[in-house]
Amino acid sequence: MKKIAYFPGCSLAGMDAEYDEASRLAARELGIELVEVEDWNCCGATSGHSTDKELSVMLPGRTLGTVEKMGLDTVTAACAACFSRLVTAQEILKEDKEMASRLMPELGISSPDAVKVLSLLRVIADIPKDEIAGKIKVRLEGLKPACYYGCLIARPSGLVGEEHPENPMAMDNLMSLTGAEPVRWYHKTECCGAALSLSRTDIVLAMNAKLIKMARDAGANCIVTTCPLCFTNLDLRQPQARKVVNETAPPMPAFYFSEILALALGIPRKKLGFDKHTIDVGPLLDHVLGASAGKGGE
Amino acid sequence: MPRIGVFICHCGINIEKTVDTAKVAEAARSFPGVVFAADYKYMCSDPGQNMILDAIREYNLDRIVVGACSPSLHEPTFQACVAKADLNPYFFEMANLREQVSWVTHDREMATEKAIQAVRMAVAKAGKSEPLASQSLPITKKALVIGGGISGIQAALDIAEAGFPVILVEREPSIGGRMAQLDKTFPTLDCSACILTPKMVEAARNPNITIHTYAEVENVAGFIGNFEVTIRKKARSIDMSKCTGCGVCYEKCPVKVPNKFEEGTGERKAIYVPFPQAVPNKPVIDREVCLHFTKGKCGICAKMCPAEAVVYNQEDEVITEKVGAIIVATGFDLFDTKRYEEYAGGAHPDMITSLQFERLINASGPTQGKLRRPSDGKEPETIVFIQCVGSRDDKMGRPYCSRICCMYTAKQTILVREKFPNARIFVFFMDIRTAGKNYEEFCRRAIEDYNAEYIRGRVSKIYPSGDKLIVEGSDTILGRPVEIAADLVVLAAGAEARADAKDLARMLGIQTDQYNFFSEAHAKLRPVETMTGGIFLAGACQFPRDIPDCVASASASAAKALALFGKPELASLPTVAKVDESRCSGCMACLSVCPYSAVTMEEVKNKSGGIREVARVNPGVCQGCGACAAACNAGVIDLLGYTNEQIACQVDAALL
Repeated sequence: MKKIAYFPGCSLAGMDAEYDEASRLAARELGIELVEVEDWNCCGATSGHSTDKELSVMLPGRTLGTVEKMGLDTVTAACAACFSRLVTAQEILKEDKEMASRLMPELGISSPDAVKVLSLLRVIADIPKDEIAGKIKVRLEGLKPACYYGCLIARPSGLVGEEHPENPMAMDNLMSLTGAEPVRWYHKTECCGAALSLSRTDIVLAMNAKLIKMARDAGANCIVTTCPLCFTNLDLRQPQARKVVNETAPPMPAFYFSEILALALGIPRKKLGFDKHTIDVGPLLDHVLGASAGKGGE
Repeated sequence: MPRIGVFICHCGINIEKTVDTAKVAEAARSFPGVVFAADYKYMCSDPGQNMILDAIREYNLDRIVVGACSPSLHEPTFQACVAKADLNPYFFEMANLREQVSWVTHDREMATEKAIQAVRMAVAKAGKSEPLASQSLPITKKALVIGGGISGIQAALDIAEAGFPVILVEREPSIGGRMAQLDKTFPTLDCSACILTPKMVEAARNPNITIHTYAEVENVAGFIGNFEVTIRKKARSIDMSKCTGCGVCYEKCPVKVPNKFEEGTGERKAIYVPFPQAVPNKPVIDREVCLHFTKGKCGICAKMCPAEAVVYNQEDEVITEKVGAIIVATGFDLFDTKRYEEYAGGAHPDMITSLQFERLINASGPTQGKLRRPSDGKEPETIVFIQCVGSRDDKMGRPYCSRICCMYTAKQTILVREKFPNARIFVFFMDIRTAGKNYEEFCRRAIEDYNAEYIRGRVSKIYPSGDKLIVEGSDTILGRPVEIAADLVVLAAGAEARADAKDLARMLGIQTDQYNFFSEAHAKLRPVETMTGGIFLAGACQFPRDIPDCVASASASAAKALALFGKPELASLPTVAKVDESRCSGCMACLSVCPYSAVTMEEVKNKSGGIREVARVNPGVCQGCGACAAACNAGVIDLLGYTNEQIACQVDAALL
């Protein structure tokens, strides 16, 4: 089994434990062991990174150093914000030679790109299609996800790998492999409003209501994301957002991409933390899993 | 021992303010071979030149060194000066004390020291100079024009008018180019075809112009005044002498494919003329799609043709022509707007390019000039124009301004308003760039009299919603987001170099810039010449240009060709590379580095009677760049005027 260092970050260690669980299980089914980074610390995606440049490098930098010490060559973060901080820290160390020479010995980093940083989406998208397809046990026909990437998985372009900054496709392609039919829509990388979530909730609710409407208009019956911040806005805040626009259509379930993948790989529904979702995913899953003859269902 | 005179120029205060010129002259007096040295305020002035002539006579000088500005500025001046005293011009040597010393070195003492060293090097080189002379070469007084758009047509007409023959080669089945695709032209709104077609016909009728359409230049050999070009005339499958252009063939042809001339907005048949005013107005068969060629069936056109002009088994014809000058007028391509995936994923039927718009609003276009939404044929009520799509966008590798889009967008808003008095017309712009005669006034008219609503800001996203396209952008003047539900979106696609420009550049031995546009020899002072003698540029193949600029540059390039044809014969460049064939091993490293294809492999007889291969430089083609001399492993290639021995002496002098 291939070992990859895994940085859960605060979201997955707390509020979004279901994402953590689904990610580890799905990865294992696909032959990847996610080895948790020892004694990991905050990635700095909080106000930390914008208050002090050096701190913004040191926080994720410590993780990079630890991964090197663990003898692993790749680290992944499921959370888009954690991923972004890790990649950005590497980039700053590559460009700012002075800072690099000062901080790298202290952080235990031998060279800025000694460790490869990949988003969890990229780790799984890099597995050959046939290999994934061969392991799909439950075809999720009837699931029509709007794949929602948010801002940090595909941007800044040039820093985060091969995703197109305006029209990323990795998640769409992955969803297709499970038998789901991802919809073509145009708001994949629209802002979810996470940065203003607490300070200007009114703006964020309007943005979310629009995102959900766009997904629905495109024919989606759920939204799938990779980012805990996006998920929180789409799931936890959806009831509020619905009130703002007096939404009468049924609520739109939100999922993490690894939850969908785990279901398709045959992980029993009960083992996954769907009860933690604010928007009830039950009816949709009943419909989809019922359609696949109960295999892998309850 | 040569008798060298050294003259140090003050260049007003340009050199004198940081270089102690008197001290440099003083130092020069002690250099080997120097018998006279002086400094003067302006060596290039008449008194300065007279000073040189007087000193030559008085001191019997046979080599002259001037320490002044860059040789590219005044070397010809001083060469002419020494020639007056019956010295070979190549006995003159220049040390650059301005651009390379005084302008870049601020410390007077260091600058003076550097100047002394530069003069010492020039003196050392002058001591080894040999007399050089030009050879005279004949000129073929016939021009080749590549590309039959407005630029190529104009250049061909100008040269033909002056009485010289012109070969005009066009890749498409008709001449006319981009201008033939346009509806109206700014800033006068006269119809593009109305002013273009008379020129097309004039070119076809002019006895001095031979037009080859559906043809491509396949090879170019030779040099200024003496090119030999190979042209492939693709098989048209039509006997041009028999065809009357009646059009029965394409009326009856059953195969329909998108018409490139209509930018995909309309269809054509497998046998077709691209547009009604085509010159020549005779069809071609597109063998890729014709049923006779793809399936071996059909043959309707041949059956219907009353003139029996359809010739299925016609073959490509390859011809060669000798010409003295070549004008490159190959035009531009449109930026591929699909690369903007944030605009409806790159493509949507109701999101069209500016050139598609020209076809849809043109009376001879696929909709007979009725502007309708491609998706459902409805009249558009809200139209959004977006400028700078593929221009001024670093992310797309297109940081430059395409220059034509601001004006054609303003024109297009006027054309829309004339058809739809009640439509809402929006234009998203970054800046409005309307530098041209009557241009700004024209654009103001679009805004003020024709009520186009201009919004300064970029569009971040376009997506379909119902039967509308939602355009999201920002108004950076009001500082707020804008959302417009549009029926039709027109993307002002930028202009870029032809996809195959690089291949043509390689064939011609001319340079391209970082965007693959062809490079002029000097951005300001030699704007239509290339670095290769006898090859000139016209129109938008050099950089995005509008019609007036294309015509002006075409006439300028014709003037350059005519200046060449006005000479009885050519003087070759004396400072060319020369191979010592007796020592050449024939490794041909020089051949691969020569950017002008001036090196050839030749067979020579050994003393023992055997045959061996050696490199030879054609002095007519060689531009004296010296790449071969540097590449020669054995050091047996000399660039005359810059021989290996001269360079070595300069290096010795520098290290002294």
